[in-house]
Amino acid sequence: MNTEEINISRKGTSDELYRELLNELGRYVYVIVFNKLRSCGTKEDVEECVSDVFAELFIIAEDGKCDDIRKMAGIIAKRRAVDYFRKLSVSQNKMVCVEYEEFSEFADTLNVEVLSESNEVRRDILREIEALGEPDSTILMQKFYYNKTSSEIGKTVKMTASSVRSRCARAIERLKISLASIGITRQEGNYE
Amino acid sequence: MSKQNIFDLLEDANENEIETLERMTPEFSEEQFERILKMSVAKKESIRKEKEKKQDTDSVEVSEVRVHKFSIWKRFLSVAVLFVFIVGYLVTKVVLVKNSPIQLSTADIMYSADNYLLQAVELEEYITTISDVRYNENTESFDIYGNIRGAGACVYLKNGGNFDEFEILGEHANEPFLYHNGEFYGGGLNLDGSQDNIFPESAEVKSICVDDNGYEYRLLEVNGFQDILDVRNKENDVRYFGKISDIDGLKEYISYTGEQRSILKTIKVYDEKIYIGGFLVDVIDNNKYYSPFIIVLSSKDFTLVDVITEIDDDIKMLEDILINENGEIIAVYYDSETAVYYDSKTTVAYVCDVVRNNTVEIEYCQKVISYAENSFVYADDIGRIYEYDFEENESILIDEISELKDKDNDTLMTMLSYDSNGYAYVLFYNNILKNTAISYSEDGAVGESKNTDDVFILKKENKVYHAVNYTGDKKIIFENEDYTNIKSMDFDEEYFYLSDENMLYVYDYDGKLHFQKKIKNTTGIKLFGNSKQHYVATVDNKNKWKISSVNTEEKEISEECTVNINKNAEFIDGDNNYDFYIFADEILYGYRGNKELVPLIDLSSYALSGEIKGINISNEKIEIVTSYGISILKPRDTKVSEHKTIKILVPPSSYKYSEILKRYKSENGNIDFIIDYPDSYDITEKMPDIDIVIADDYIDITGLMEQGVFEDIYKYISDNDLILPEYTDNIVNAYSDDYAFPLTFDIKGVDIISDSVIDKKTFCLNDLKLLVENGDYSIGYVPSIFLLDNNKRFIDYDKHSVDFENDDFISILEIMEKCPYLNLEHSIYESSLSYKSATENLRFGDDFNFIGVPSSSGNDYYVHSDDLFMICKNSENKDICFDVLKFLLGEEVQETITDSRWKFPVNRSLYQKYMNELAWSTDEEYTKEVMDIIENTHNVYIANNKVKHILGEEILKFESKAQNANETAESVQKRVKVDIINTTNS
Repeated sequence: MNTEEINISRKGTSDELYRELLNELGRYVYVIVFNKLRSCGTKEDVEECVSDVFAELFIIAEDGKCDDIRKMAGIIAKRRAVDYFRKLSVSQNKMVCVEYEEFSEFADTLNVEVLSESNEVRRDILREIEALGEPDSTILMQKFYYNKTSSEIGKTVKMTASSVRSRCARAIERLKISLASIGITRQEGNYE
Repeated sequence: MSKQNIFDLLEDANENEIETLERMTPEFSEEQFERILKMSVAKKESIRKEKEKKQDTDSVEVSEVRVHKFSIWKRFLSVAVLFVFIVGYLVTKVVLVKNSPIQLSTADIMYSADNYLLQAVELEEYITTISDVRYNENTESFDIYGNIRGAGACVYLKNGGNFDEFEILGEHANEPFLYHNGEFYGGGLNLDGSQDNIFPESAEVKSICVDDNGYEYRLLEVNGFQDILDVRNKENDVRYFGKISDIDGLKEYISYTGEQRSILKTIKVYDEKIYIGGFLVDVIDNNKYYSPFIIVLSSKDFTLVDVITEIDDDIKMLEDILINENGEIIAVYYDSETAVYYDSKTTVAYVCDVVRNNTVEIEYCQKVISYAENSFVYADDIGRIYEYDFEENESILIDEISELKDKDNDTLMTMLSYDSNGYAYVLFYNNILKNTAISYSEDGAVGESKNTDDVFILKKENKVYHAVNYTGDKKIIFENEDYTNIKSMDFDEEYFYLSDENMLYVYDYDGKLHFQKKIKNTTGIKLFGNSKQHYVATVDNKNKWKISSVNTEEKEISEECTVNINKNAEFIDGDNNYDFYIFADEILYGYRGNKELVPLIDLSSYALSGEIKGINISNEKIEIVTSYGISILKPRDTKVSEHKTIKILVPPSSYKYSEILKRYKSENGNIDFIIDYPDSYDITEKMPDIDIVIADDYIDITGLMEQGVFEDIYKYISDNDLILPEYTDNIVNAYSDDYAFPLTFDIKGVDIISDSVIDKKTFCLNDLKLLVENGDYSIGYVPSIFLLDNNKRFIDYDKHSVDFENDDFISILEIMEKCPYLNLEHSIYESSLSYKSATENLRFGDDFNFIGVPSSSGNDYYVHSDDLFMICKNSENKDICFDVLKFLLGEEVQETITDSRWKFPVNRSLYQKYMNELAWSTDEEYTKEVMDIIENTHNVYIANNKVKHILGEEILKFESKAQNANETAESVQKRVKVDIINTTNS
């Protein structure tokens, strides 16, 4: 969203501007915040932080103080997420997957004891997940990264919970294979 | 590094990776969108008001401190954004001070739940989409129309969503893959609309086609096998069911394990040959190489005829093949990577004429539909249909599905077919005909309507509109070839009403036009009514709805009223009480012939979950169908005066309370709750009965206490000799000065990660200072734990004394100076002991270095609560508020409250239960250590927002070297004393 587009939105009501911004940037901000708070915050914490970011963005947009609102959203989101992270780290519970039991087998196969945290590994994993194609990549991400239940996922991908579960099972197998093919293999329970 | 799931490694992503993650993240649900929007707007308003308030205050004050503050704020405002980045956490804390008067929406209380009692009915999970609900006078209940997941078909549920009583209305599959010879195929698990599953539930139909003999060819993925071919007809005569890789000569092409994988995407049958398209993926040096192929089998004996591999390099992940009458093939690859814009379904397609090896790139191609001799037809995502000519090398627009363009929310899901008569068969989202395959023509629209007994579907086929009684004998009861764009339709016992944007048509059931009437200046039209009266509602450019009644005897329409409501309003048939109802912006209005709408009920106050799909009103009740179920509002059987409404504010995004209060309500039918999230935090005008807050973030408890907003809950309990369930005394009593009752708690302290032994009991500020000076340690954001959220350390509100000039405060500032908070690898950081962290810390073995917040004399733990319960002094229902508190302290409810955040419960028996579990899962000695900490903590971790604000500003000056530690202490002391103590005294 550039200045011109914001100015067009500003000509409407405030509510329209807010909705436009949230619609345009909500997912982006959420991803940044979630990425930082995933290990220490609850879903509520993430939404709190996201709403903090948008409170600031709404002001900036209303005042017309920004040329590149997406860039601005990204910076504020990162800053706010770090703030929340500091506040929540260690003390807060980690989000738990309510259906973890049913996927314990898969989760186990993906557990890692020692794995380089380098950007390269992350990039590889992301690339392999994305290469699974839709809806499998989305299902896996929602299942294991966003810790959503199969029925929640089902609503977004328009499938039954059981279809999500079966797709998820297959997708995780495919992911294992593709990760193995790029050198992330499981040996005696670990990826090395 | 601790044991992690591989998805944990995706944390701390960089910009590019964030973009990738964004692509794999679904959009907010409507509910989440509205929730975040509401929270953001509330916070924004709060920041705005705070800024304005500050500016006003600054302009009249002339003291030295104020002048300095003015410059800081002016600078802050002018470079607010930059400041935000630099100061981060501090500024958030300062800016988010919430002091504005609360503005409870009048709508929240005008149509409170006084008149209706909510009773929710959850639907079985099989129901995926609900398109409508209608009251059935015969059964005196309501009927629901929707689709069953997986099984396909249009479903008709009777009697309040009782899944045992339903009928399949149509044979359409839920998500048909194919329209062929007048029938839809695929999608659901069933071949013939029956309920018997042929394949396991996990089976996935990847592609389907039909031959001239009625045999259906499916490419399936079943139980992990990705290459299953199934060929059978509707009589279930199976000609083939098995793995394609078992066919001789195909093993090398079909592999889905190891480094080379093949993915099958599409199946087509033509001239006794089966064509299966897919691709191989080879991973070499972390790069992927795609090799598309088309397998050709004999449909007679299923032997291998050929494997076509010479397909253009642009075709990577081959997704579709189409075959023309000459047996020539085109291969299609939809490339979302190079799509013109990624988020939409629009994509770039590479279409390869396999015979001539000629590949073309088509932008905005949503689906390639058919292949003629030298051209193919494709559709974009907004329903435009093009023909691309290989020889002319250009696309020509040949058709357009007009209605799709007009509706913001319509998205073409897939194009099924485009037949030789020029009809496109499409499937799309977000329409009243959701997930129902329908037909469109170049200028046509499709409508659907239902009355109490029948479902009618209006189709345009072969340029003629047909109205079909879909529940009965499917007899065509009406047809007309003159109309071009029917927008709305409705029925009663005698007549059949249709309208486009210019005209109302009224037909009888013999198909004879009873009369027609011109309609003026409308951008939208709705027909509705009941057996007594029918109406036409038209909307103008200014969103004003004009409602006219239809007089079928006089063959006239006459204006009834004009109402200024949302263009997206829903019109609901009337009953004995009202002529008709309108639902707009969450409010249900009734109309009773007096030219005015009567607001009846505000559904936003009912905390209904999910998008509202339909409303039915009968004399007895209001039924609201949402995407998750049905909520029934029943009129109360007792007098309104006997009912009490309790207004309760909860922290934004505290979903748990609405659920818990529903439980209370089910036991106390005469109590209604209006649950709201605070828009601002200074409750000075209209206030709730109960306020539940998070101690450090959401409310200036001490400030409000000073203003006398809250009831002294402890005095109230003792004065009235009230009995609560047993609770952890020291924790609850710690809050007794603050008029707040903690429902859950955790203990604030710091965690120290250390190689050397630390004496947890004696560790004090001096020890901390030494560690920092030795350069071995860094500390997480210092002001937060030592000062901002814990400023009662330096203020004694009872004695009205302030002591910021002591050694502790100076020491903390000096430690800050040596430990820039931006260092994330801190070794000492704010922490809290919750049930979750208590169980998790054990995993770190003996490194349980959770100690109190250091002071000069040692260290102190602080009680903290995310659920502080307060009763407002002005509440007229304090006895009910107390009863709610009692309920919230019950063991079962406490378990629910603590469950979402894994805090400790204050209910003593539950607390003891948690401790027993902790001892069982860890060890007794450790549990004793945890209990010792909890049971010997008597101070609260709570902040006064005014003090936070002052500290924030002064620390900012200190951090920017504008003043030293002593000057900062002096300034804080002076300002706090003036602002806080004087205010308290006054």
